[in-house]
Amino acid sequence: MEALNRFFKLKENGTDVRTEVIAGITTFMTMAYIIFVQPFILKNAGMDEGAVMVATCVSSAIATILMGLWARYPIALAPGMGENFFFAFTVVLGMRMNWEQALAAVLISGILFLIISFLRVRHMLIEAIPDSIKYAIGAGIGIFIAFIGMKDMGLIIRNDAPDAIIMLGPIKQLPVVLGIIGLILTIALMVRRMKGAILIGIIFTYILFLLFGWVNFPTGGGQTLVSAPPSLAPVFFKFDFTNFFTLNFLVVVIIFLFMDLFDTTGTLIAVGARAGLLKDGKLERATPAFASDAIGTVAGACLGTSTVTSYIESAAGVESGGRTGLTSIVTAIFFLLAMFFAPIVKTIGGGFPLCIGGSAEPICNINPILGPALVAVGAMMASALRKVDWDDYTVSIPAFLILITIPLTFSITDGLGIGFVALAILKLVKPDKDKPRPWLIYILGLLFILRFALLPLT
Amino acid sequence: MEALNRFFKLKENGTDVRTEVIAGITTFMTMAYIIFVQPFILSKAGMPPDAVMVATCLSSALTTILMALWARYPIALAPGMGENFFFAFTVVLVMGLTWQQALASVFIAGAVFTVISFTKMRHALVEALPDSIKYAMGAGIGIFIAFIGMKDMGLIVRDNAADAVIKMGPLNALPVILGVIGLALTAILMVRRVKGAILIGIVFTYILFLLFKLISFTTVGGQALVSLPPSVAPVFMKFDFSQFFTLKFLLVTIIFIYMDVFDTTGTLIAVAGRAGFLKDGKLERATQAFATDAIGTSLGACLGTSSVQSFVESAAGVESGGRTGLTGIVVAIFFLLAMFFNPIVKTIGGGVQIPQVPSITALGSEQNVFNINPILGPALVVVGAMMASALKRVDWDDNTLAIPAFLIIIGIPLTFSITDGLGMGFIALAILKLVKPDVGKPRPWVIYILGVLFILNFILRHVW
Repeated sequence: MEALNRFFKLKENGTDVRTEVIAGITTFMTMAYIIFVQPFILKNAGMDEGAVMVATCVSSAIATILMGLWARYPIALAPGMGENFFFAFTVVLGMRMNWEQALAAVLISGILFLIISFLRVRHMLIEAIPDSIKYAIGAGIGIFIAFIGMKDMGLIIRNDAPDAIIMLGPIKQLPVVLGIIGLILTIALMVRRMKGAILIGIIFTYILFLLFGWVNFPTGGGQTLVSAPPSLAPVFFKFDFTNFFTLNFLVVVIIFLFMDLFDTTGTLIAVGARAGLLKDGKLERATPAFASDAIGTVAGACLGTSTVTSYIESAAGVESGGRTGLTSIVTAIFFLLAMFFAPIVKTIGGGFPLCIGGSAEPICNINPILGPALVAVGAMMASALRKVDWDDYTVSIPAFLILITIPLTFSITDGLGIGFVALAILKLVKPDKDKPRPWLIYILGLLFILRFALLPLT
Repeated sequence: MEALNRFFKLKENGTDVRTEVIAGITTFMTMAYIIFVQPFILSKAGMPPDAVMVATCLSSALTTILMALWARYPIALAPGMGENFFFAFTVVLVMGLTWQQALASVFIAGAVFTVISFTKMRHALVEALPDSIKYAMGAGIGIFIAFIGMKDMGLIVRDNAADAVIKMGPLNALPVILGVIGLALTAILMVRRVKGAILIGIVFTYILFLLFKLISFTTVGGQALVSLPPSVAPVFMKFDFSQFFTLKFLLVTIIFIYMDVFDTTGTLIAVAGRAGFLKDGKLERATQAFATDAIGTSLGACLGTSSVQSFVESAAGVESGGRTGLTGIVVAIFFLLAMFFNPIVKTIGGGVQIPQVPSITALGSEQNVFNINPILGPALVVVGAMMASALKRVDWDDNTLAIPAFLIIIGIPLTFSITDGLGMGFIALAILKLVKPDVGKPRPWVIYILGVLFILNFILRHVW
């Protein structure tokens, strides 16, 4: 105990072991949904669920321990929501890379991030993009996540009528109704400020589906509730660099890098400020914090999961008193323990076909157990909308385009592309007074124009 | 001149005839896009665009004159964006009312609003809903309008792959490229604060399509550029009250009332505030202004167009100096003149014949031929972007409001239905306000009732 106190300076930070342990558990509860969500998302990219789950737990634990011991922040890390959607839905499903190539891109972006975290370039890169655009990216991805959540719930479906596009799903079908009940419970818990509202929401929805016989408890087929962690082998060190020298790869690496950079900066500043780590507008030990985040991404890519980043949910632990790295250590231990629950994770992520009108022919496949969690996470991410400068058209129009086209093109790259091209054009027509020309924005705009121009050929 | 000065008190208001005329022209320029957009939107509800165009110009002119002479505000009115989308895409296309029934609902909404505008109920109604929800409605409808604009541009298309829903359209198809160029120009004009940016954007995009021969000039088929206004008869006084006693009709009418009351309140306070009519937090001649707006809605319904209301674009005229009703008179005159340009309006709203552009079918999905209307698409995207600025006013820290607001904001575009999106949000709001009511405030019964109404609507429409 005394050693802990000395190492983490608990007393100096006005905290104690008990408080830190509770804070660590709180943070874990609020972010544990990622253990279910990550395998479910990356499964869409064709990756093995069990292996991704283990990779997620191990990489989260490694990065969080590093953050706890090196930067001594009460901040936990895990594969980021947004980055994982980009990985599966845009890079693999949309841009047609295989997941091994996508992992390679994550690795490269992590290495670049690591280098940057030791250099002053970090500030330049972050400051080159207007704040409004950064917030719009976060909010747009939030809407995208909620959109996919609603689609997974069967709440939004394709409308196959001529010239139509999408519509409300068949809300009288039992799985859709159960999903809606799950969503209502989840948001009711959030409103009541229950810790771990999203996790409880997932479990509640899971139990609902168990009760109505839509999913089976993982005891059949020789499986048990708890088991030894599955093998990491199917996803461990599976890099494929074959398309390294393509424009697509470059664009993907840049987007991964920027997403990680913005997420990390935002989270470290937001959570760090609440933990009292922001002094005179500067974060203490910022370099080790950024480096831990970057190493997490590299470790995650090696282990077989998408970009590991600092979680804003760490704020829950900080609010309950967590101030030092000990909080993180506790969270990391729980991530390691979670590996033994793979059978449950697998059932929860399984989907089933949705049929309407007595037809045996399904209209689509849905995964309503995790849908409510995605909608809730999306809603939290959308709060960034407030920070967009809606009065300045040069940023508000690109921000708006990013915000709506990320979900509507169903592609983070396409949405970012449309927004950055608009931003480059508008900043060319009306550059900021008394400021140097925003060359980085022009270059990004050009890069995206190139990508759009080459798109139909590939 | 002296008569004008006396009647409108130009001198007292620190303005003169010249300034007012320029302000009127400015306001007209910024809102003239509605003359193109309205027939285009309502034609999706099956209404004849020619007649709608005339109904739009006439109702806008008449209500703007009323606003100018009675309330003496420099505020112009026209069929509201949002209400027209609700009318066509939700009430008619999704909920299955006929446009005659929808007009009946607009008429009732206007009549109720007129009564309300003379009573204190106006405040009660406005205050019954949290501000966050009102702003979310505006923003959600803005995103919906921009979504439809992008769909009309061919920028977003349906994805027919298994389990997919939507995706980016074929960026190598000429009409899509021209639309994107039109959007870029419109955005540039907006950024450079050019008056009438949207109108110029429409005209520019139109010329682009003419140059590339994707549409033909209106003289084909014996039509001239300018013609006598078409008859308003096909849409004039075409009410159908047969659905009057249904829940659907009730709900639609309530939504029309709410949309109109909120929009009007927001616009009047914003624009009249800038014009200096807001004194001690109170609007001068507020009753006249609200009543004009309300009467305009019923009048528009009689003539055959969706809810007429105060346009926030009037701020452009106020900024260029307009302070009195004379500005409105000038706007109204231009609306009347515009009726003679129906041939142009028709081509612009007409859409592109897709068979001329094989690349769309090639790159789009196999069984689909898309109809796109890329000339007006850029205008819709930009209007949507302006409406989205309401997002900043949502209280994102209070989850009881932020979550329903979020559901409304994304539910409206994603269900492609304003009623369904509002339904999601209001049901969530009612439940959350039940679980966690505001401390120290009376129970929000209006919210509970609306929540129940929307639940009933979902059950009636989807379950039975």
